[in-house]
Amino acid sequence: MIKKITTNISRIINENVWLAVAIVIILIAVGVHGWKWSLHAAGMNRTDDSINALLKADFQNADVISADILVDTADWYKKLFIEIYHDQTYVFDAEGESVFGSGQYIYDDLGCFNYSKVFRYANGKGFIGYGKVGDNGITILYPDVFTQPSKMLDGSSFIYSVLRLD
Amino acid sequence: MSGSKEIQKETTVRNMICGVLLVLGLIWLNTFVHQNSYEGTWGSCSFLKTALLAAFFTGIIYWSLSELFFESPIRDSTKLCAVGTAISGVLMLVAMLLELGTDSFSLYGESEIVLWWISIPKKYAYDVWAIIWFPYNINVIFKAMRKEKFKAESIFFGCIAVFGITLEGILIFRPMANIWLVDLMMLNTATLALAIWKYALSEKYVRKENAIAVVILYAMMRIALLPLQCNNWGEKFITFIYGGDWSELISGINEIVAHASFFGTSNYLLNSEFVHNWLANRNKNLLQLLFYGGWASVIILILLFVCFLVILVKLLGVKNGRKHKNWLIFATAAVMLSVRTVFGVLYSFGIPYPIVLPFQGSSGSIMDVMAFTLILLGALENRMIHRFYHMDTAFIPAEELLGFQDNYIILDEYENPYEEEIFEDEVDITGANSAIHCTAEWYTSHGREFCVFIPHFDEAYKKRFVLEYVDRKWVLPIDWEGSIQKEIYERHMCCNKPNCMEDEVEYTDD
Repeated sequence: MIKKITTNISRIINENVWLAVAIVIILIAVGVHGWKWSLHAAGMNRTDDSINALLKADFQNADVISADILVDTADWYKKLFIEIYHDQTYVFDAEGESVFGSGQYIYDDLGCFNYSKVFRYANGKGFIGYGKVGDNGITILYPDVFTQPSKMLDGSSFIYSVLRLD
Repeated sequence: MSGSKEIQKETTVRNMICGVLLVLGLIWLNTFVHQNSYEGTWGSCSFLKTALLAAFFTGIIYWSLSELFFESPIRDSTKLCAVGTAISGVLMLVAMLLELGTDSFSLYGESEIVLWWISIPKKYAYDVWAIIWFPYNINVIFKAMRKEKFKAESIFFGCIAVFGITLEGILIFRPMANIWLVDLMMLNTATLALAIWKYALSEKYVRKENAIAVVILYAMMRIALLPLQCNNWGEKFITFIYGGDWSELISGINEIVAHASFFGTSNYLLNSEFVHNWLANRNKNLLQLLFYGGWASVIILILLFVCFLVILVKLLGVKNGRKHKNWLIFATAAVMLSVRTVFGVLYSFGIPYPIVLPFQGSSGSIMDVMAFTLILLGALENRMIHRFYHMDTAFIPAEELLGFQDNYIILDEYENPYEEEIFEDEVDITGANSAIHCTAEWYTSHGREFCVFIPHFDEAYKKRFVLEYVDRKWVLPIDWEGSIQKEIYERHMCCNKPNCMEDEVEYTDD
């Protein structure tokens, strides 16, 4: 019975090209919609307990960096710009003075260059910070407040051990 | 017979659909993990779009290069293979000179291939070299050796060519991390073993023990060459294979494995800052899943990976391996995905073979999609081969389609009576009820003329029938059963052999 229905349906589709095209378009549309919906639904359940959300909460709770430092230095960070020479980075301030350099890009666990362009830098006092090169310039991921570099583990780099500046 | 054939065809299509759905599921998981555990914004369809583009371009490139793959190679003897090795050796020396003499060219020393203004990271070139270029060359070399009946001289030249292509890979990918070199060694050895299975083991001139010994010797040679390839040996195996701080990695794995719940995220993991930091931006999707979904979802994922391996083997069509021209490429791609699946799962639980699960990660998943697309293309070719071997069952009596008549009126495309073969003739045959549009192929046997007609309508898809041309009339074949029928069928099959099938071996005379 099912085979007969399937055969009839496939015969009708084979005989009508436009019907086949319409079915394919509908299937693709439903598929894409289902894909997005399922990811959204799965993500909604994770609003508060995804790794990203938990990290944010951890960061706020830990109060590693005082709000004052961030407020004072926010404008200064915006004026920074970056020049890349081979795989080394140099960051300059608004006057074109080198703030630090050469900096290091972060390498992943396979020893390959990380194209997310995350770099580590140190200020004149030797404190370490992290930044990222984007299409619209650089973003400071963490200001130069760390006294020790992050530990490089598997995958992308992350701050494993941070010591407060003060 | 016909029923079993149909079942087999449907199974291939079903396996292809199941394989595609599994891959889509893995891409979905990768997107979910990136959206929830990686910094930055990841679009819902970003990985899907990349995968579709990679599959599309792989198909296009394979289709455009298929003539190259299907045609008889220029290097049709082992001596020519050795000459080819010598030429590529000279070219590689020129490349070395360019690398030493200029800053805008690099093939050996950097982790990117730099060709003046183009820079290609070697991790992208790696898969193409390992699953296409190396198997293609091994295929050519072994085909030439088989043609020469694996004589001592041909084995000598063949070995030179195999050694040459091996050295090429070692030199190009030398700057990559140790795990890539170990992986390359495994893939190359697997390709060689598959080539020996395909070309040597079925030959009566070859002693099976010797053939197996060659694979073992090759593997030993590759292991012996590792010290020349790997820069960072470290103090122990884990330092050599991993390079980083293994104990840090293991502590994270142990923490998650020990405290995961069966369903969903456990409270311990929800409150562990160490685990959050450890998982953030980390390409360990099995452990990410363990965090988000618990053991139940990990068990389901592992079962899906087992299904994926079974489907890979089925799509590969080992039964057709010796008849399939480019089977080595598809088989090496399947080996690559299998290695990534098995060792990716083991690595997630702390076995020191640092390799990413297939279709997970960002750039590596493009290459996995490429390999899987190749396997799908191979499965399609397998269907063609399967159909070819069952072509005799596609013949039906002409009266089944046309009805019984004394003679049949056949008109060519200019609506003249059809009387002689031109080229790829398309004709209309008037049957009892209606005219049937067909392609015609002529055959002569024992002074009689026959034509095989292939109808162009869906009900008779891939069916064919035979009419005889007697005294300027088209009639049902007279005294058709027996040797003439067999001969016509065989000749028709021979003429319609798919390009993707191996040609008959033409041994070189001594």
